[in-house]
Amino acid sequence: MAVDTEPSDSKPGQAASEQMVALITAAQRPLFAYIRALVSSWGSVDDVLQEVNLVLWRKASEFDGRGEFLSWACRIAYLQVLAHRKKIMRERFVPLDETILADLSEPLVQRVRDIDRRTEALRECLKTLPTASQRLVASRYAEGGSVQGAAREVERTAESVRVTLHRIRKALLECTQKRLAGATS
Amino acid sequence: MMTMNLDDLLPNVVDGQLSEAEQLHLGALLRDDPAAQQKYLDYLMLDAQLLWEKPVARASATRETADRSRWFSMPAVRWGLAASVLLLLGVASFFWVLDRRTQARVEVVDQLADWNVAIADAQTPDERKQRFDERADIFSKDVRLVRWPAEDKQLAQSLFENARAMAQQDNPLDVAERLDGISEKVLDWMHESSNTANLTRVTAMERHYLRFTERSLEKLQRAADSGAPDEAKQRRMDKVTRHIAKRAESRVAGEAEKTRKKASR
Repeated sequence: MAVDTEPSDSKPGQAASEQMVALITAAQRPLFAYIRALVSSWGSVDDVLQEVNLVLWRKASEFDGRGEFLSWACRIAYLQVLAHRKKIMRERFVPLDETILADLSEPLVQRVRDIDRRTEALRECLKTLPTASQRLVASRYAEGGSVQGAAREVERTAESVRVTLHRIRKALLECTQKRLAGATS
Repeated sequence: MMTMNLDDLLPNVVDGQLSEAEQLHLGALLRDDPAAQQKYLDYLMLDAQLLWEKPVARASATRETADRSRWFSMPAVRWGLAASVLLLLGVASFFWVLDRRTQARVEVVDQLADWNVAIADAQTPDERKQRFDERADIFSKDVRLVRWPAEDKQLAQSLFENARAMAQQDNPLDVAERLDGISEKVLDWMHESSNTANLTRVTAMERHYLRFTERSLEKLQRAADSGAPDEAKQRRMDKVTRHIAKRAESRVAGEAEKTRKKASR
């Protein structure tokens, strides 16, 4: 269920709606990353993102354009993550409590603000991977992809593919961090 | 178990494979430890970016064709489990074949969508053409040979033609219009299939739509940055923006509501 963060509930006027749609659309990638980082060990990213989009649309008229849209959207996303956690907790254990989520949230906002540069660096780093690693990443991260599916494609065990993917991710992290550091120095 | 460090847990976190004991341990490792939190966020951010980007492996056409033909003719490897269950139930292989075809169609549509994104993301005309050429023959065969339901075939053909058109364009506004057009087709598919498609497919299509629209906005921005637009260019840019706004208001929100209602039933 969507959490209303403010008392009023109104859709944007026609004049502002085009700008708001552009803002919400452009925020999808950072919001997805923000939510994924907070809920991936226990919840559904798609459910939370859908709720966030609906709340953003309903609350659009409250965004006065003076602050940064993404920070505002992340605040709403954070509240939706907490609401989702509450819902999931009725059924099962959730490893990250509100204190940990709050600790993670602030540095996460900084990271998602920088997502365009990070994505650009990642795209370049992906090109440097050996072809076999590229194929494994493509298979794992394809729509509906999984470690098991990737393992079947390369005729290896899921566990060994999981270990390889972990090494690839660490190599990509190191590469992107070097590129980002290089770009800022 | 308790000797596991964060590095050991991270792959299971992103694969959704943490046991309850591992979940407890994860919470303990992250509590009041900024260095662990930073490592966790970096890893999860990377995973999220890969999930959103859906990178396509560079490959020679020969290898790709070999893989693909092997895949289509693969005996019960990928589908073995489903097939054996059905056979045990005495339903025979007819349904297994149907299921395999359905899955093949789904994969081709997703791959066509990824291919369009990869072409749109290419930085130079040469790169764009190379990305198109790498897979054009394979996808051309798929679009012609796979047995499609009408709405899937239409979308697959549109995705193929869109990729071909984008590969020949260098003007960001032209590409933005192309992406705008294909976004419309994806939403048409969602509209026409809303009563038959499952939640996973609708979610996948919604993701494709968002990625196309996101790229369309990026190209619009690039077109705007390339100098003050004349009246005709401004009109074209406004038109794409209007389309995006109109679709978002009248359809995406509607689809999301509908999907959620279905899921909550």
